[in-house]
Amino acid sequence: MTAPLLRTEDVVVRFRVGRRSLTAVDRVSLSVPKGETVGLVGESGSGKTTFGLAVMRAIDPNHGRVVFDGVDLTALGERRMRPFRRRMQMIFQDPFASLDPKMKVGRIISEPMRIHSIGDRQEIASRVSSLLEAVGLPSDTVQRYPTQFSGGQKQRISIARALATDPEFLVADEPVSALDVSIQAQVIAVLDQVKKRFGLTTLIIAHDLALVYQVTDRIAVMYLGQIVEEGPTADVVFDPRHPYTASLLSASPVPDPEVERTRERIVLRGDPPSPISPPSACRFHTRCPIARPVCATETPALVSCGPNRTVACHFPGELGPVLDGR
Amino acid sequence: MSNTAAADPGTEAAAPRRAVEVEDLCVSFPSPERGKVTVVNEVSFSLDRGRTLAIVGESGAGKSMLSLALLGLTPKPGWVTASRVVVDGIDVTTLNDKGWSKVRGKNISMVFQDALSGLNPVRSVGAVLMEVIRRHQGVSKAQARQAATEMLESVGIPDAKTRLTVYPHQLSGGLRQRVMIALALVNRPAVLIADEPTTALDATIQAQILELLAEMITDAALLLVTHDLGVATSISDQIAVMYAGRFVEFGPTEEVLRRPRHPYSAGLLSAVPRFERERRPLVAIPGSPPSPSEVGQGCPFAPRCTRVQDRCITDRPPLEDLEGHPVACWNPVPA
Repeated sequence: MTAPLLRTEDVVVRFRVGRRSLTAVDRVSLSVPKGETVGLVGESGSGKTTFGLAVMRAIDPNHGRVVFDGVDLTALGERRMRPFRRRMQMIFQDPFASLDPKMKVGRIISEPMRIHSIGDRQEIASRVSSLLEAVGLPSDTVQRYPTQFSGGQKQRISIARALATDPEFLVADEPVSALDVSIQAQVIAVLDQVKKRFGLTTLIIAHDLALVYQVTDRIAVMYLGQIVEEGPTADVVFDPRHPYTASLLSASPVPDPEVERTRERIVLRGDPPSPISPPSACRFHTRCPIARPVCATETPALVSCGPNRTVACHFPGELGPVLDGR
Repeated sequence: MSNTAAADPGTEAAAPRRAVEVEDLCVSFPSPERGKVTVVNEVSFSLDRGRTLAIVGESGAGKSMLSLALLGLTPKPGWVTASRVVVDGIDVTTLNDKGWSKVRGKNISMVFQDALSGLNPVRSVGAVLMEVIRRHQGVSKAQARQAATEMLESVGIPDAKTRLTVYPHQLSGGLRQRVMIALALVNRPAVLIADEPTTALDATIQAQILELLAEMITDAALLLVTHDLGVATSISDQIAVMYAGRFVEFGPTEEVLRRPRHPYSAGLLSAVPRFERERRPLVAIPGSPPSPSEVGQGCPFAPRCTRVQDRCITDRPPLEDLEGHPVACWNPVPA
């Protein structure tokens, strides 16, 4: 594994909910190696988006460190943070909400450059047109407004804007889940092309495991604010060690009658518990098909379970694999 | 209530196997430029009880408009034309609002994507269920309460008796969707339309709801409307692929998935990520789906199609049987 461009250590993010406190992200340590794409997978309420925002320092973590290129960002004030903001960018799920409808696309894409005082008028204009070309949009796009574009085109505009400051690191939070199937593949291809062209390191946050399998080098699985399993993508998908990972994999339907007919379907009972009052010890024990008494009393640590991979389970590997991956 | 007409929804006759029959159904809206825009075009199919048809398509394909038309809920100023729509033996093409209110919820019912907007927020789960039961079954309040409790139990809602008094917002997304399913099935309809029933749910809850639907639909026909080919695969017997208001391919699920003949079906399938050890790059379909007002005289998919020929631009291909199942294409993908 190459040196991480970004790594977090024991990041904790809490929110106040009335008089109580909700721990959305609970001691998350994750590394994103330079040049690689890491996928962060989990269901709603797992804390994956909050973690992404904490990595960008859009939210200040209550505890822990976010280390980018060797520098602890959590120790920096806003002024010293600025050069790093330029080097890290984010794209969001909803391209309808994340583009200002009153701004022309040219202005939207160039805004980050103006904020960071990059280039003169001419340089900005030429960078905008090369970014549009990189994301596969015609150059007359600059004169138009976001509402004149479809969801897929809007997401391309978001990608172009994120690349305007020539970042090294990109956080993509559910970048295609608002899009139609035929358009998803287009946007994934654009992300892949710009990643290669600009040498990006990427953290992709998504709930769709098949998608994350398709585009990542490593996968981390989150449940109720904690990472329960992390490792190389193919290892995690075809030989899951955590029962939650196995359940998620078995719950992701794919358009392949053979797979749907033959695979073992693990249907978890009940709803995910509220993060306001998470279960004791292993947080998954209330829904886990293989839980035993120890799971309710002792918290399993995230420990090594093979080359470059970790799992937090007292009985790792008992419930997988669920896919044969022809 | 009269018991003479065969069309009387209250008749307790032996349930016909054929749950729904649709021939040449169209849904149109007035348009200032073109007179009218047709969003569902010449759709025909029939479905027996106990069978599941998945209608697959992207946003704007007309799937939801088709569902609403079958429920007599086409939004104004839209209108429906059809040479035949028979639901549970009842010709519904001539029904007025009053007629529909006897059929809807009894012979045909629906589960929506968003259970929170599908349920009345100011009425308890029990009150709504009991009302639906009493409207169609003519039973006493106590009997309705009993039936409501049993129904909630059968859709896997723990502690059903006390849940009768809760309001929709007090339930999780998964439980709300279970309540919707209970509500839709409580009068044993011949047809259940489920429009993206799991799209708003997390993966593990989606698996629960799909399992529940499969369990509950033993005696009704299920029309599953979805954009998710994986969901369609896991639960359907037949798939209809819809594009720009039309069925473009229609056949047994396995056949359509293994050997898609329409370039759009094939394109959708190769655009979906899967778990294959040998990761292949996804193949995107260029362009985006047309809006109904943009559809010209040729094949609506022609502008995005890699197999396009001259004929595709000028003539619309009919939906015709092609070695086993109907496909609307002049130049289909070789089997």
